[in-house]
Amino acid sequence: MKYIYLGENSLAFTSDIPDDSLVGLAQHGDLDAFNQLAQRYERQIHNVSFRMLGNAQLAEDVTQESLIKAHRGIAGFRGGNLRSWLLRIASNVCKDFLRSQRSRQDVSLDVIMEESGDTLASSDPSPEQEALRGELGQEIQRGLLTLHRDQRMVLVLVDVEGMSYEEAAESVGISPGTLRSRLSRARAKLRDYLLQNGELLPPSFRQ
Amino acid sequence: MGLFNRWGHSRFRDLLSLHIDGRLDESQAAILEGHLAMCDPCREELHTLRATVGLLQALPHAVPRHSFAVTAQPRVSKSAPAYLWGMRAATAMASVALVLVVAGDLFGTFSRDVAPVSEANTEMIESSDTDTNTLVTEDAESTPPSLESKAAAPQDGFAAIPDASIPQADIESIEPEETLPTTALEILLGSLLASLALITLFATRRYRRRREST
Repeated sequence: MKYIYLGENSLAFTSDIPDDSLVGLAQHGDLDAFNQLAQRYERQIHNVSFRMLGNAQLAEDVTQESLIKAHRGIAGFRGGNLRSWLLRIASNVCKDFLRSQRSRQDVSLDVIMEESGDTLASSDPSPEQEALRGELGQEIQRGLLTLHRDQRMVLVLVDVEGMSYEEAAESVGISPGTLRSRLSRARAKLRDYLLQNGELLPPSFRQ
Repeated sequence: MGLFNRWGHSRFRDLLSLHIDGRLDESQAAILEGHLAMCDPCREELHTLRATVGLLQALPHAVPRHSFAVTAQPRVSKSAPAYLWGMRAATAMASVALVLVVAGDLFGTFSRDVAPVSEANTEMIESSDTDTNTLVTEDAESTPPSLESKAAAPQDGFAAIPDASIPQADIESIEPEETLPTTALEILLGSLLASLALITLFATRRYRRRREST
């Protein structure tokens, strides 16, 4: 086990400690080990939550709740792909939120979309990135929000997060075959939405 | 031909998504590409799907405004607080008491099933002897002062009706100490059990809700 000595009574985990070792420590109550894991995956959990919900504040709430649930449940983690396990928790928290939101109907799409552009990374200032941070990005996000939450989740995991079919299927608890057909329908549906509402679509979208 | 094309388009369109991800095996990919070479609508569909995926892949990542480190939380005891355990224990005790009383009552009922035989005997005795005193005494003597006779006593009606003609000593021997009002006891215990169970249920749910909210 590798630690960095940071001073009196202060040890930090180096980033090259594999997940499995940190999980083992976290399962024995080591909070620092768990937080090291949380730090590795929090941005991804947050981004998935943001794309699922379209709102930065809600995404942060969901991320925090997901990590708290993961911390409570880490003792029950039986090995395997930690990222899939964490994203599965986040997926369930998102679903719970969307269900309650649907029953309350108190968060409109406009409120959800508000100020979402401010939270988007701008490390790559290419024109396309700028467009995607702006109105085009919001249009795509609106298109995502028109999809059923199950379709949206597979689209976000595979196309936005770049996960493999197998890992994405594990994250949402479905078979790879179901994921393939769900992904195909989700892509076609989003494409149809963008074609209908995509005045801002780049020229590459049309032949 | 048109029908074939429609069937073919639908079949090939299902493959487009997999084709974009390079998930088709060589033979499937060759068949699809053969179709795409001569089918403009499917080619257009592939192009727009690919552009959609490209847009999604290029979406900027949302950056959280803070870290989500989990802080040490006050250890929440997984077990319920003492008052809940107390209520559960009380409910369990009431259940046991009710079961015992009902079982005793049923046991008494079974013994009453035997009672008509002894009543028949006593009637025979009664026919030869008009003294109810003797009858009651015989009845009392024919059955030992066990739980069965205690439970059955209120039903046969003799012990329940004081008769001035019956000597006090005999009455005492007939009327066991119990004349347990079992039905009343069962109702009382049943009500107590139902109340305890309901209160425990509500208290448990309230406790869980409070724990989840924290």
